[in-house]
Amino acid sequence: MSELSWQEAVEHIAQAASLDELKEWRARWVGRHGTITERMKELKALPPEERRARGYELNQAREAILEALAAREATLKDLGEAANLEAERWDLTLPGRQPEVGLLHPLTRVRRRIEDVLLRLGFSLAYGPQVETEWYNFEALNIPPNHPAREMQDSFFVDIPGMVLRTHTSPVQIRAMEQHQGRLPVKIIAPGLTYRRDDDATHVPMFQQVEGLVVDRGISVADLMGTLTAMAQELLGPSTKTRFRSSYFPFTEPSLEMDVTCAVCQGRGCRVCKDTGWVEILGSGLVHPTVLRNGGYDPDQVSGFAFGMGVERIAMRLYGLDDLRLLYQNDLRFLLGFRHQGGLR
Amino acid sequence: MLVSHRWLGRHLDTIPDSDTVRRGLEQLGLEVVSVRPFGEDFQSIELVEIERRAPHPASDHLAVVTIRRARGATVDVVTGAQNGQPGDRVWYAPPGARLPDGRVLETRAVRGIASPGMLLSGEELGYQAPPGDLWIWPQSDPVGTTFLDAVGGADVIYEVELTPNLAQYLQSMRHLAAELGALWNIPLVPLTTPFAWNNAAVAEVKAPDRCPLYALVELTLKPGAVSPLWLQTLLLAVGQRIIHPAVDVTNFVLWDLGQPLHAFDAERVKGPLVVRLAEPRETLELLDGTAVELTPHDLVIADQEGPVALAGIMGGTRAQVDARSTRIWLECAHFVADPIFQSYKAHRLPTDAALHFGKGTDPAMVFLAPQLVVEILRDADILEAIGPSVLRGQLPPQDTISWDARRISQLLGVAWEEEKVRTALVRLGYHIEGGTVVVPRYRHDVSSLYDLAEDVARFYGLEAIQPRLPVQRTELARRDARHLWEETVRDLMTSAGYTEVMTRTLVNPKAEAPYVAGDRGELVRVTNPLREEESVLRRVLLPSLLEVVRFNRARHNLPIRIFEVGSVFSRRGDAVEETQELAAVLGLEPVPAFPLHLEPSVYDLTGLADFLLQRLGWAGERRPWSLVPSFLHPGRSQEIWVNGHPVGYVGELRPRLAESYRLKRLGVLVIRWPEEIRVSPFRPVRPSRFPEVERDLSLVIGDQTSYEAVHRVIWDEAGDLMKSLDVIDRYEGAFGVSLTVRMTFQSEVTTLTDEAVDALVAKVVNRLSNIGVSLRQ
Ligand SMILES: [Zn+2]
Repeated sequence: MSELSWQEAVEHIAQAASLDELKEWRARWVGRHGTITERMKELKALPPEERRARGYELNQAREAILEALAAREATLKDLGEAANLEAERWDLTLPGRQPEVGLLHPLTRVRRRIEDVLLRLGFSLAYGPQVETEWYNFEALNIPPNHPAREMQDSFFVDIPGMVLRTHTSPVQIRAMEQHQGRLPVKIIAPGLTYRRDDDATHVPMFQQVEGLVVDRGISVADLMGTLTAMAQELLGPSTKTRFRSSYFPFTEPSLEMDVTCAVCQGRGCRVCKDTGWVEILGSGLVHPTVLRNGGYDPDQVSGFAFGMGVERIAMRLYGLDDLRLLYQNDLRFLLGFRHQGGLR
Repeated sequence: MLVSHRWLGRHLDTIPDSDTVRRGLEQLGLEVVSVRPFGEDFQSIELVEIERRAPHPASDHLAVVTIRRARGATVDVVTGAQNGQPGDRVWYAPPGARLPDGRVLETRAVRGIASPGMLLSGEELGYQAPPGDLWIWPQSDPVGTTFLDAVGGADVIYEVELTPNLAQYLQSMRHLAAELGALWNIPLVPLTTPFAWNNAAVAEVKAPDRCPLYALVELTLKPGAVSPLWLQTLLLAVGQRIIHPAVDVTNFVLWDLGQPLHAFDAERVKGPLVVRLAEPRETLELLDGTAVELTPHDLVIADQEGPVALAGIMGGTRAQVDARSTRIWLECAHFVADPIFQSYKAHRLPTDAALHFGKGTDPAMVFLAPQLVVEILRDADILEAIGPSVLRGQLPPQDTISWDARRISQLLGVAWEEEKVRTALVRLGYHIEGGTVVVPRYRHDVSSLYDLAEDVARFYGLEAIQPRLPVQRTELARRDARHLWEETVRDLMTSAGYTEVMTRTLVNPKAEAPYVAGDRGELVRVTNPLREEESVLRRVLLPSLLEVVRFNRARHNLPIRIFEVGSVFSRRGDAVEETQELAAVLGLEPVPAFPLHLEPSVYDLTGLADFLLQRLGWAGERRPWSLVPSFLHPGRSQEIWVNGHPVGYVGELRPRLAESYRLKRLGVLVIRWPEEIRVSPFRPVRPSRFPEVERDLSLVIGDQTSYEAVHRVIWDEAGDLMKSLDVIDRYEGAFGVSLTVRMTFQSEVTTLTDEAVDALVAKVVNRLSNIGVSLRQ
């Protein structure tokens, strides 16, 4: 029938160009009417010895052809897949689709960072109202009417007698002491919005403060300095140095301001730090005896320290900003820029 | 306050260099705003002698003067001065020299004659000189002497800021020098001796509780005199103007001893003077020309015709000293600080005297200041005679504090010996006798051991204290549960793709009002706003976010997907409720993007609302409005309820409002914190191990039927075996609206057969037909 020997067929199969051609070879040689199949049918007519030898030979041929078919099929399939996949090639230099995740406001990030550091130092969070009584905002904090210190904090008054928009978070000191009802220690921080009648590149009428208060037996200026230095180094980096200067706040005595090394020049002196190498970052002091008394504590028996810092000021330092107003402009181009600030949480 | 290095030096045996002084001032707690030289420009002003004076050939009013400079050089200068004859020595500013008014001199032609620089009058140097156009120098300094040398050399000026506590006693060179001397252990130069009064009946005090000490002395000055050069120089250095010897000397004493003085023209008052409270409606014309109406809270100095001064604050015009005055009444008093403070506040008259008396002065200076005035005037040969004088009242008592060095050390956190603590206080002027610390009279800021601790800390410097962490009982730090919700919502919102903004709580009432939905109480109004647009505390958050939309849309095309968690306020009577509110705004416009364009719709927000309620675990739901607020799209908004109370809404802003924020369509979501937050319990479920069976149904829904009704029917009928029901397609055709829903069935206990599921589905279809919903053919 066929002019080809099965060995020649195997060679042809190994060269087959397509799966279709393989199908033809399969039909022609091992299909229902294929050469080998037909010859096997003819075996019955042969005498037994010849049948066995011929059968053995045909089986070998069949095996060889099937093997060649399988091998070639596998090869052709691999080649086909490769070609198909090549045809599916995409340009991955096109932009990928990022998960749609929004961003927290930089002031939220910074406030959380401050809270986190202070929580780890054992401070609990406390809160007070933004529309505050003059008692909590002023008198209880040793700022009687006509006290010069009231000029230091130009207040917004509201149309409810005896109420102001709180000018600082310090009223929470009194509220927290009252809530503790004489228990020791009092150890709280109070984040929140505060208001002053100011509006320029370094002041906004509404801003965020974090207040801190510790009241216990034997609390000292040394404790204040140690705690605030630990906080500054955790917040601003371990190489941050701190410096304390005498200052004045009506609700602390003695009062101290804390400077930290200027981030711009690392303390060498530059325009930002007015060549001092230091930048003021918070006000603090021992709780004034009058304030302790107003909170229900005896200043002869216990003592405390308090501090207050502007979240905006810390944010400006952490992010290297020089204009406070950017933080409240809500320009999405500015806010979305913070997608790159993963390292600053 | 401006502080002069040389002036401080007058009070100290020796004065360190300016860097040390600066650090000392800072250690005292003063903020040194700037340090700058004074008198540098005087270096180039030189003394010359006039050799010749010739008329200017082209002018009758001008003269050409030949001057001899140092080393014999001569220069011709044109001058308009009438004085200045050969042999006179005058001050010459050569080209390049700068005058106090800022002028820089050059060579210029005056009517055809080149004139390098100019010859100077006293006024041109900022000084008051004897009459005459040019300042004829009376001293015998050699030609070539610089004006800087003539006034005693350069000075350094420290601009310091005094905190209110330091202003209570440190507003004078003497008291600053005393504190610095204490720090450096440098002795003070002794002050003058007390003035000897002759007890004339020239003054009386009718309000001794407001004026514990009052002294008056009559001085007669030589006419036409000017203040001595050294005094003028010191006053100029600290920014004072030179006016008249009587005024200059009081100014000097004010800054030298911190004791304000006042000079009346004795010819214009009808004595004796009386210190008394003002009568109701009494008026006084002040030195600055304004008239004030007085109240009985004001203290006045009056003569027999009425008030001549607002005590401790400002004199009146009637008894004003002027250039012709020679016989003056010099007042030296101690007034109680607080009423003076209130008085100058009330009349808005923060004069130098008021700023001293109003914060606190040193009563001991009342005894010394008149003597100092007399000495200065006498040394300058200005004083003609001392007339009648009197001192009324006595020194107020001194405050005391119980001595406890251990407590002071404890407050500072140091282990200092009693002696070390005592040394600091004694050097700072305290007397410690037995168990008592006697506080100096000028220390109006000191009343407790805490104040003493501050002085000890300032004395040794804060760097002497070793920082440490407090040793305390360990307490668990706590967060406030209610505020934790805020943080959770912020995190959920950012995870949902929204960016946080932060807006001001003070808003424009007109912008806020249209967005107030439901009962939000009354507004809290600021009575002294910076501007009308920030005059009320907002009751709702949304308008603030809409302003952010407007701001951004005016600048760029970034997709709007923003939120804020912020405070809102409601006034109920005199009580103010402060709550937190979430507001989110989504720009409903396609966002071209690769590989898929985003098509935000209000469904993103309804889904967001469900997402939030689910994640927070708040028992909440969306409901149809009973009355849609006018700012919302009536067909595309719903109310949000939590715990059976409305807390917010979700939907589209009314499109014509959206357009005013530069977007065609805006989606909004607002949720206010419920008063009480209940969290729905949740228990995790073990997934069934039997196979799920899905069935999709395409349903034709009538116009009046909401999906919610379909949803409810399917759940009711399908029962417990249905695990989930999802809408997988929506299609609008000639037949109306078609929804394809996918039901997923699964049993906990057995493999569901097709027959069982088909039976359930048939039941569902049957029930749906009852509400007019049919299978799509
Ligand atoms: Zn710097």
